[in-house]
Amino acid sequence: MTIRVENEIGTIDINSDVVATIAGASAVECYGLVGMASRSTTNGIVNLLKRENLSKGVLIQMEEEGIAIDLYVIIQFGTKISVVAENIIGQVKYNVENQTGLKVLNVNLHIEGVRVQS
Amino acid sequence: MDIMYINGDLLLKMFRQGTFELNSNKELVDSLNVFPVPDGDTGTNMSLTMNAALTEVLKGEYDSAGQVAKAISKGSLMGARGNSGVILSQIFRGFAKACEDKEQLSSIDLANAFKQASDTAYKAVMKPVEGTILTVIRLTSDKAMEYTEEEMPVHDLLKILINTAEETLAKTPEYLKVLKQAGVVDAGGKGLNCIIQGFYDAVIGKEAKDHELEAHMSSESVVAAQATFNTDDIEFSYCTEFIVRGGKEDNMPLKSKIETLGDSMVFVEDDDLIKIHIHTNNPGVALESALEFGELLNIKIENMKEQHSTIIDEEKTMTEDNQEPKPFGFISVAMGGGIADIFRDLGVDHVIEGGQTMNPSTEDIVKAIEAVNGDAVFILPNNSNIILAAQQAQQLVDRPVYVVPCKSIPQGIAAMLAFDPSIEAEENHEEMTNVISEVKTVQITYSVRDTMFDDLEIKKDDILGVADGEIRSVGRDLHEVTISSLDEVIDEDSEIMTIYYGEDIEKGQAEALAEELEAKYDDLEVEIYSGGQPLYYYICSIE
Repeated sequence: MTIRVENEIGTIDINSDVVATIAGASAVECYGLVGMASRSTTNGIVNLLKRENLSKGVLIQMEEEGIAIDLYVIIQFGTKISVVAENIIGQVKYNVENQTGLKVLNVNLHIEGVRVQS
Repeated sequence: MDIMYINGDLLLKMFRQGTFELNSNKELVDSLNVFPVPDGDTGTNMSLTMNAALTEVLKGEYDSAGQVAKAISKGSLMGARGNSGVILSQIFRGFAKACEDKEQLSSIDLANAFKQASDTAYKAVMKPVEGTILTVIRLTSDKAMEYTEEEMPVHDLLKILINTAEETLAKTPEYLKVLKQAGVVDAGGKGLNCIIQGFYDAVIGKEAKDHELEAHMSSESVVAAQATFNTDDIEFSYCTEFIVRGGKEDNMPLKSKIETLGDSMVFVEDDDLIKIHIHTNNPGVALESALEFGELLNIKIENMKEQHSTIIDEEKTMTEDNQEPKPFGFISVAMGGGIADIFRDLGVDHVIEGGQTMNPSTEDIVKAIEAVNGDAVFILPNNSNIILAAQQAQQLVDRPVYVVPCKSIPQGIAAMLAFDPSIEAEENHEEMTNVISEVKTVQITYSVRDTMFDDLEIKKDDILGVADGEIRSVGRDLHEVTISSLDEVIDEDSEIMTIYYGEDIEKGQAEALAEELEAKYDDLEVEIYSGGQPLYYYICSIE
């Protein structure tokens, strides 16, 4: 799936994986986030993803006006989740918009787990 | 007197003083904030976190240092705001864990607590970014671990840690490119330094008075807080700021000398520059002592009693200013008296002082919106870094707010000129946004440090010609660079050029430039205005 940007002299196609990787990479730099979770939760087990699978915990959806990003994440126990979540959303939106020039309509954060062990 | 142990009472005082120190530097920290999102709110967030925690802590009674630490940890967790606030809460969480069952803390306990604070802070992030508050706490705690063999007076340890924290802070631009590009140190790291400084101050017996602390405690409005503050209470009258070029091998003697002259000192060393900021009653003495270390640049001395009275006066006029509501209100961000006046002449209701290197925070903008009369409010950020803060402010107020994405002063002026009071706000916003792309902006400034831009090597103090955000010309000569960057931008369609000359430029110099350009380009009409802006020698718009 690609996201197309047109201007007067041509078109730019951005593969949604690219956006997903950017979103994933900026998410893991966010403070309080300790892992991305696999989004296939059919068996009810949340898999903590390794670094190389950054884009797995990210879902990109194209909409008319821009894109929507869903992130599946694991948060560190003992942080204020509401604030960490706000920070992640803000940071991912800023980085994706800044690097791709696409408009991010919304970032939905799904907190799939809390890591308790220190 | 040597203080060997920190008991619960002292720890509470340390935390209180740390909060005070951070509060006092809130604006400074805000202005440094470029990472992770340049929204200029790090200081505000950290300060809100500390104040919330302090309020929580002051509610209880404690008989051991461990209990106080635990209360701080809980308070900061509940009150955490923003990224830096969350990190801060983790730092205190680790700190508290280390002193859990301690009645009082020796220097060794304190060192271990710092270590645990750092470790805990690092555990809550998958991929730590270095060059931030995290780096500052890590290297500071590493330093602390060197002193776990033998007990020492805690103020000595804290003094060592302050120095390490400051050194690390000065190095943050080396770790993090964004900081280097913006020419700042990390905001969160600076905030942490303030807190550690406060810890030290409390141990050596400094204590902020209640009213000083409360002046900042109300998170609602800083302006209102300043109004409750009596002008006579300002102990040191002159806010003195200057840069020393040169310096010696060891500049610490200068630091200690100036430190004794007043309070709120900031002392930053960078290559061969030392930036000094101090509130004192003897600005002359400070300058004289600095002269022994090098030549002085950018000297600024302001009477804070006067400033403070103006703030109070402004506040009074603001509240009295309740005339009948009008349909549109305008807010602009600008630097320099001349430019601010031009905006006011064009009908801007409120000009926020700010721009490159001094981004107003979201909170400043929200306050300006609230103070401005108008059913719909237009904001002209005039700088790409401020657009985001303006957009955030837009979401925080109930009134319809339109942010015109203008990235330079000329674009802002063009947008303002395009405003038509007879049409709806929506249409106006569209029209104003359209018109900004028609204006070309050329800004002539200087480089604050050695850097690379694309393949261009730029030395400190080189003159830069920047056209619409891109560096077009670099050189040592102001006149040459100005002409060559303008040459690149002026084409046959260019009709009108407006030059706003900065505070370092004489009127005659600007007039000569205008004449030269008019002679060179037949169809071009050149107008000049005194902009009075710092940093930029010339800001030019070409239409």
